[in-house]
Amino acid sequence: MLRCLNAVNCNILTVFPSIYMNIRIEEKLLVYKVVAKKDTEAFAQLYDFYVGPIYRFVFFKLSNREDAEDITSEVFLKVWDYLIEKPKEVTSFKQLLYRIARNRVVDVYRARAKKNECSIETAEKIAIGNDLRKDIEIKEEQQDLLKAIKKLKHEYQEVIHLRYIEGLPTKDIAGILEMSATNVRVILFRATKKLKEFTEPDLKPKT
Amino acid sequence: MSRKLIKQLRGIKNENGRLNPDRSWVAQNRAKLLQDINCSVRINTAEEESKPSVFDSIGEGLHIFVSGRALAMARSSLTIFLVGAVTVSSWIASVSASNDSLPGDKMYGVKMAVEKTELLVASVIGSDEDEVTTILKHASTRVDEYQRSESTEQASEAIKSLKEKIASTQESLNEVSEKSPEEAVAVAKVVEKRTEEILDSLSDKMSAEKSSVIVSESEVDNVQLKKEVVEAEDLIQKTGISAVEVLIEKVENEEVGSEVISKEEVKNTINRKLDKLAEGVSRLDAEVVETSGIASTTIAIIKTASTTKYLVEPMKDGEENPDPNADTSASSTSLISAQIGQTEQKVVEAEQKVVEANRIVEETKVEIKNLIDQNNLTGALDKIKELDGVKSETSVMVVEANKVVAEVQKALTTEVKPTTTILPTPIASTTTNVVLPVLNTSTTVQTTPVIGNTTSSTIKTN
Repeated sequence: MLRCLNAVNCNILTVFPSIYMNIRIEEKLLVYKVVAKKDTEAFAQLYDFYVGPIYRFVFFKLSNREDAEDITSEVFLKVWDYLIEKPKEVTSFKQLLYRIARNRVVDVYRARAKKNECSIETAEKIAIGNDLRKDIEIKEEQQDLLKAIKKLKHEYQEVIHLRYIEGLPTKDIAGILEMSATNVRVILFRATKKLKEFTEPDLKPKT
Repeated sequence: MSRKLIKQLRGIKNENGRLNPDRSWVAQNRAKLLQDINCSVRINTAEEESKPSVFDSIGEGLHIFVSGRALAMARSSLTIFLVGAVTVSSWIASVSASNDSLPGDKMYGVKMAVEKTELLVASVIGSDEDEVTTILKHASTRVDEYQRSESTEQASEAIKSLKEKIASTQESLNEVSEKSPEEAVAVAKVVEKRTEEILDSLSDKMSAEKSSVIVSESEVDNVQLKKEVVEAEDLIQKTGISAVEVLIEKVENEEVGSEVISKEEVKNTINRKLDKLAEGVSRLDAEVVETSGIASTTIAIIKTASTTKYLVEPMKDGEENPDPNADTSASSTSLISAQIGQTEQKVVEAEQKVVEANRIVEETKVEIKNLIDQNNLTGALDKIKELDGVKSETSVMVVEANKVVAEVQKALTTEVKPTTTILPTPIASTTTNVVLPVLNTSTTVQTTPVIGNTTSSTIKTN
């Protein structure tokens, strides 16, 4: 089921909660197999389901295909080790994946900043200017949307990406970003408001 | 946020741009990842020989399938449940252990506490019928304790408690008879039925045997106990009769319909009561015969002993008496002889009373039959009450007769013992010393001739 749904739009899960629930149970069953039996096939199924979202999450932040591929690969290896070594610390497989990916991205940001001797934000701007514009062949309006998202604060970008692009529930986003669900809702509200201002400048309220 | 914007955001990942991973890379990376993982698994398996225990697997499974908060809540709930379970199971264990306890036992207090709780619950939740049923159930337990008791004290305690329970039943019956007639009839039925059962079990063969076992410990204590039992029986009988009275009152005043209780049922109840009373009188008859037999034997032995002593004493004249207590012994024997007259009188009175009671039973049976035929239930009940009074008086007289016989037996035994202690040899030098051990057992009276001609001549003289 996980494999089949991988190809389908993930947002369907938010529309049909029963399917989402089944997926969660199946995911937990696979995690149990990994933890209890070190079942590599079960882990492969989890990989199939999550490789796309994790790659997108990393690529969205780094805007570099090679880096995204390397980090995605590393994330899955680290997750495997984590599941085998510290199974009792795993509360949610999905949250664990995203958290590891996020930390790796931060490491890359730091490395880049040190190497180029410029800030993470500057590095990001360069990335947007180069890779996204050149490599992603998407519609013009979607490209504008991506640009608008990239203009947002780092925190806002994350919640927008996780909530609307990946379709994750607030609870999971709170787990990934290690904050309360209420905080996530507040940040999401502000982020969407800001994004709206960027995409629809005519509707910007007069201050 | 506008729907259009959300739609656009959701559509981003479906575009075949660089935002999604390359399929060939995904496949290659998958293969590489699995290879790496398999390698690490093999190495780890070689290092770790021990398999995880079942509990570890269960723990891991729980951790994965149940959220941390739910697990914490479940843990606290489980703790509370376990504490409760341990408390309840220990209470149940104590209660079940106390079930067989007798008055004076360590667990008897627990048993009493449980009974009090039961009664409280029955009075709060249940009806009057439930309450009375509970009280009478406890009364049955007291009878059971009396039957199983190992000492006179335990038996006496059980009978005392039984009396309290019956008194409590009588109170409940009086209270409920002023309430709704249906309820009063229901309670009266229960009381009538259960009191009869209690009476049966109290006076059954087992109780009699139990009493005889206790008798062997102390005859006088047993007679006292028997008196208490007779009083308890009387109380139970009276409570049963009160219940019948309530039934008759409700039926004769037509306060309840025939579906609740019919006249025929009441008539049957009266007849049953009459039969029970007649049965009680017959039992007293048998008891009196037994008491009379014991009394005759005891008196015969005492008379034999006194005569022998009287005849032997002149033979000792001129010799130095080896026993300094001899005078005391002689005076005691005369004291016992003084009790004989009283005993004979009591036994004869009891015999006469029983004969009279038997006569009254026969007369009352005919009268009650006639009264029932005339539908005069109140009159029949009055006769039952009269008969019960006669039976009670007879019981008291029989018990008193038993008591005096027991006292004589006791006095005789205590007087004999010091004399036997001074016996120099089993075959004594004096006839008195030889005869006295015989007094302990009536059967050896026939064997005394073995001792010598003196004894034989004494019996003949007597």
